[in-house]
Amino acid sequence: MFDAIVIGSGMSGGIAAKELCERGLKVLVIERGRKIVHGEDYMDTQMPWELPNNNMIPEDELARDYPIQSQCYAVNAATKKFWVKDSEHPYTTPEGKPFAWIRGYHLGGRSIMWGRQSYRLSEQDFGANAKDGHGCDWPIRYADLAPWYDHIETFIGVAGSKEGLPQLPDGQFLPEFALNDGEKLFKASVEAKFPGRKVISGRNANLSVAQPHHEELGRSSCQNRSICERGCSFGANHTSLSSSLPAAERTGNLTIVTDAIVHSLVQDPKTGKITSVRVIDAKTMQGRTYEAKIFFLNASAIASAQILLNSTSEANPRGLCNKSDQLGRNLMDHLYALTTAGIFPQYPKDSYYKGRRPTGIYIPRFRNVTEEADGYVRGYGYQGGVMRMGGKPQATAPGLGQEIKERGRKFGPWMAFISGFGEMLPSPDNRVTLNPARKDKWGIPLVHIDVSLGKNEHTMSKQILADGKAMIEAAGGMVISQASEAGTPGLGIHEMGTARMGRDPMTSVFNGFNQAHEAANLFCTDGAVMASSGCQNPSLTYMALTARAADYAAGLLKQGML
Amino acid sequence: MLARVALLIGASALPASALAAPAKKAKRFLTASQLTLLGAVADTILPATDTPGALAAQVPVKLDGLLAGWASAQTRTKITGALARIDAAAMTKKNKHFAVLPAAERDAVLRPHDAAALQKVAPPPNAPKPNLFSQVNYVADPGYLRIKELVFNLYYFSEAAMTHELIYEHVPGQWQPSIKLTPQSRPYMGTGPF
Repeated sequence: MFDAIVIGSGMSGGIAAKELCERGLKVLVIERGRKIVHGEDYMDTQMPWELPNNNMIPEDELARDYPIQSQCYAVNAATKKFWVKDSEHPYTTPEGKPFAWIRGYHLGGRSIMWGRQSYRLSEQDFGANAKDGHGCDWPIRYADLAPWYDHIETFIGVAGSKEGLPQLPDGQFLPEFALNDGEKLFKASVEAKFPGRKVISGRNANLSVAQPHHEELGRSSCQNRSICERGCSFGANHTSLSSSLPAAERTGNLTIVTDAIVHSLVQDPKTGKITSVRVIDAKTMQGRTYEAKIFFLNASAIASAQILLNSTSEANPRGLCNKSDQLGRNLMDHLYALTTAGIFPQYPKDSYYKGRRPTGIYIPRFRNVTEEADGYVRGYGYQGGVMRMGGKPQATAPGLGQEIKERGRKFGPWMAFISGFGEMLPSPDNRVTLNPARKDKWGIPLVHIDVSLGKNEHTMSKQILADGKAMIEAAGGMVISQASEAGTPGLGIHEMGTARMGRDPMTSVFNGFNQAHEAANLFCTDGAVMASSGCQNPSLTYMALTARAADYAAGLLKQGML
Repeated sequence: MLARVALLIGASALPASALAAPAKKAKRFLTASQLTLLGAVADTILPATDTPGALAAQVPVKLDGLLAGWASAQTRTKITGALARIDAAAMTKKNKHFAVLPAAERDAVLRPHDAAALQKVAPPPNAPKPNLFSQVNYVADPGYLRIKELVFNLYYFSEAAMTHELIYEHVPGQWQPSIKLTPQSRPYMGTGPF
């Protein structure tokens, strides 16, 4: 019997393990994928010419095994091992309503390949549902989470600049990755032409300057290689393998099992407490159970909902903790790939930069903050960068021989791209259910994901593109390329909302401390619990919620209340 | 120093067989004559100049390796078809196979072929919408564009090009947000989208 079981070893599971272990609990982490080893299993030391097939995945293999995963920008030969084979891990969607579920099944999960952008939600975000009536009110406010944001930022290391913006609260930052000269000019123009808008350095979980507590875990400062998604042997970006699991491990309280797929949770009908978790060995197909006093569900938003939906019993025919019928509903992602790119012929021709910085620029939300929105609620931020064109020439331009090399050697104009990340509203019709007809090879029902963007999202998308164009042009740029619509839902890889937090057990699944309304010793702290999505990249919030819930759960356990 | 000199030797100084010099144990797809033709095409697209060219970067044999181990049947067909059309152009204009032409004549044959092949055409009605990470270009001879893209990718990510043509530092260390360019400056290479 363990004190605590954590289901999932990714972004939030790693932090759950750390926080619970550090409070003296004997913790078992259950990971459905295989074990991988920090450093040893990365392909970040290979030179570009040493990568197989020029870093491309064979075309037939890509089409057969990775038709969905390959829509993610970070999929290549060097990272192939970190993405699931769609052919082995199917799910279903309605005809004509695609959802791209991007996944990694291995120790550390998607924390290995994540984009590292780390932003706090604000008071405005936590109050948004109550204000405009979409979804259910968050049971917490910014002040509840602020100290836990501090705690997580300090531990993981977030580079950023203090800006004093109410819609994007400052945190405990390492020095930011400075803007280059093109970005400084872009910032100056945008901020002058649009008072209230800001262009700042992207806040990212890369150690711009490693601190002693990072170095104690074997982590070191960022080397500006920008191949983070291959896994970083320097441990310069926060991942479960570089950071949270080693912190858990050094307490002596951690046990990890890999290749163990959680089938369901078992609830004692008398006490309402969870008693055990049923797992299926991924390799042998044999079933077994693990028992503990408390359980943390950190399988990721869709998978956590799947586990609860599959935990049926006589008392809970439609899934565990689902009296509210909200389980699986309100699936959100961020509006993604709404990119505008432009060139700036007037920007300095003699200026350049050196190193490949693992972040870019960020434009915090201004719609429905300092500027009105054109017929929708909520808002969006932009991620992007301004860079010098040049290097490997385009093969599409006619020409041969020395002129090609000359093209590659020539420094082109500065080019900016800014890509909107828009808030998606919680809608009960955007939902995950279990497919009644199809099971995976372990006998677990497939998830069926039914999501579409609504009127608010479509209206917002138009203004994301219009504002993107206006900012490029206001800074003296000429738009050279622009998306026409948001990417397929799921590609933001920010899925959340499927088991939301709330005050009322009849309208939500987990309470203000991420504790199940219907099972006192069950906690969920991954994206599933998000009552709204904000427009900020959410991992930092998942980690802060996790640390807060772990502190609360460990306290209750100590007091003998669980 | 010797290695650098060897890299700088142009194709004209090499025997014809060097155009197809296979690497050890590399997977093969093309016939010997197709590989020789590909070698001549790659050498015409990116010849050795003051820096190494496609041959020193082993582009032909690596591209053959991609055809053997990476390309789908459809891509192989596209590429061999496009190669055959280049040879056919040489036969029409010079009455000789492309690979046996001197460098200047190869350039004279390939240059108009390149311009015609890369003429933009309208995308098909069901074409996927492009985004920042997946630009699809529709041109008159997609097989030729594929060859040229692969030659560029194999060349610019080769050790020869990354150490002699442009600059690549695997571990830059510091981020320097502002440096002054000089006439000698060349762009830094990266491997990711950013």
